[in-house]
Amino acid sequence: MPNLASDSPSPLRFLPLATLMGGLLAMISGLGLSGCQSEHPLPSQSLQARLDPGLTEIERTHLTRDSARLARLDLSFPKDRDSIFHSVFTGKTPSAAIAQYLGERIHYIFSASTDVETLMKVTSRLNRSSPPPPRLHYTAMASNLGTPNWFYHEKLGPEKSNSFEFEGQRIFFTSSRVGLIKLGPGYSHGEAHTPQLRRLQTFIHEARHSDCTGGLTASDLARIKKMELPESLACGHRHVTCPPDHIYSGIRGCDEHEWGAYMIGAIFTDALQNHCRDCSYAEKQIAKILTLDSLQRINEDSLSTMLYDASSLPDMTSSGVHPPSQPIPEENPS
Amino acid sequence: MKKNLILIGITLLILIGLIFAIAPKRENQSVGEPETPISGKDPILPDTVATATAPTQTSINESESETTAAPRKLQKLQLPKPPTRAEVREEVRDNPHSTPASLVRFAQDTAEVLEQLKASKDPIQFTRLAKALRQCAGVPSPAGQSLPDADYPPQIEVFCFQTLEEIFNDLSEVAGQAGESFDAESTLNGLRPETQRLLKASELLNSRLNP
Repeated sequence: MPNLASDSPSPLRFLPLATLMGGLLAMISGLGLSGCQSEHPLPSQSLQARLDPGLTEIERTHLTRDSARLARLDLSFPKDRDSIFHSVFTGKTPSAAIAQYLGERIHYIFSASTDVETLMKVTSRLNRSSPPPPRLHYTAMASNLGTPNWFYHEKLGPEKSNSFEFEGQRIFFTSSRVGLIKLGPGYSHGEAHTPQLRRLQTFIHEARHSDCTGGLTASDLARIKKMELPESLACGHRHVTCPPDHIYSGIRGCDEHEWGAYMIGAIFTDALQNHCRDCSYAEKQIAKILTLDSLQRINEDSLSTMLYDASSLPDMTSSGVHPPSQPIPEENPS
Repeated sequence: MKKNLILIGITLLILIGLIFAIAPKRENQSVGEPETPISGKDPILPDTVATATAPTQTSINESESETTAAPRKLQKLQLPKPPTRAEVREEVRDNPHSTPASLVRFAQDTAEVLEQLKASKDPIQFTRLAKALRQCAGVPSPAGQSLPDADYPPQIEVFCFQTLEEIFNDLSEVAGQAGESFDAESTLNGLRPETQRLLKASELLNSRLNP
């Protein structure tokens, strides 16, 4: 069973263990408590997140364009049909629905160049000997740091857990939907390498990681306490290692539960491919390959349940701990 | 003196005329398809595929082609080189959660080629691209009924298969002129099992988006 304390790659796809531990170590070492000082909201309404003042010019430009594009996406669905799209993205218009989906799940966007971990305050005394956090690969697009930090919040309690400062306010990870996204270097690549649709899909995908679908059970909390990951994959919509016969076998880049981040991403890109009235032909082709790559990463049983059973609908809610007041016994350090 | 000036003037006029007469020919040569093939090899995949990073197609100036009286020959349209399973896997090993850039680039470059095909409505180009797409999709050859040797990821094979369907639907008249036909239902069974699965999933997702 995967263990949070292990040196092997963590199932927390959005925050490798080493990143978290290294970040904690850096914070414990007092590398910095300075937070973001001012709000830099995006001009349009789709991505309503607060922006890191340390964003690079390219990141800011991309974010502005991406947000504007999402706000004016012209998706058209037959009015008398009940598309699965509307079960995921709920709102008056498709673009408003996408804005709402993102608005509920992404609240802070940090630059790839900002050492987010050092911005966080932590007083815990977790593994001081952890290696330094690995840098995201230069093609990585973004990571959602909210949910794993919420796990730690639930493990350590508000006094000891991570928090970060933004606009003079200290933000605690009191829910999986704190929605802290750290951009990766790949987000800033040019259009040839990272076309806009790829960036948009990244936000849709990462946003889903903010959902703790079904909530955390007491037994899951107990597991976290023991530095083990919760059994529920749907809480944080964690990815798993791809099976042996898969093209990505052995790589932690697949989903084996229903309505995870890849499926939600696939629904978004499939809608672009088939219902977008202001997408170019090339964009629709890109949307097609993005959909196929997402579908390829979902295991067959989950796909069957989601696609063959018309009554199968995604749960787009997010919960906390069940029951909320369940006390978790303190682990004996020995 | 006057005679000399007149002679010089006439010579200049002739020279200018010659320049104008030659210029369009050069332009045609630069965009035209070679009259004879360079070698006897199959001009389609895999020997002459363009690289995914550097598409070889020269875009055609549409407004110019509309106003030119004589139809100009299109540059030979080629499908970009699809990334192999190994290449895609390598990318995912480095960056496990994003769609590999090579897949996106292939889709982007293929779109460019297809737009040119749709604009040209050229049966020869249609045949060439349909053959390349069949190979890319892993469609068994009619004679041997064996799968091509190419080792493409299922995402690429499904993408090519769906693109093949698309050009036969959108350019049915051109396909007829080219003497080409495509029966998706019967071809489907010859695809690799994992490709069939992904294709089915893609169709089912479409049906859930458009119930």
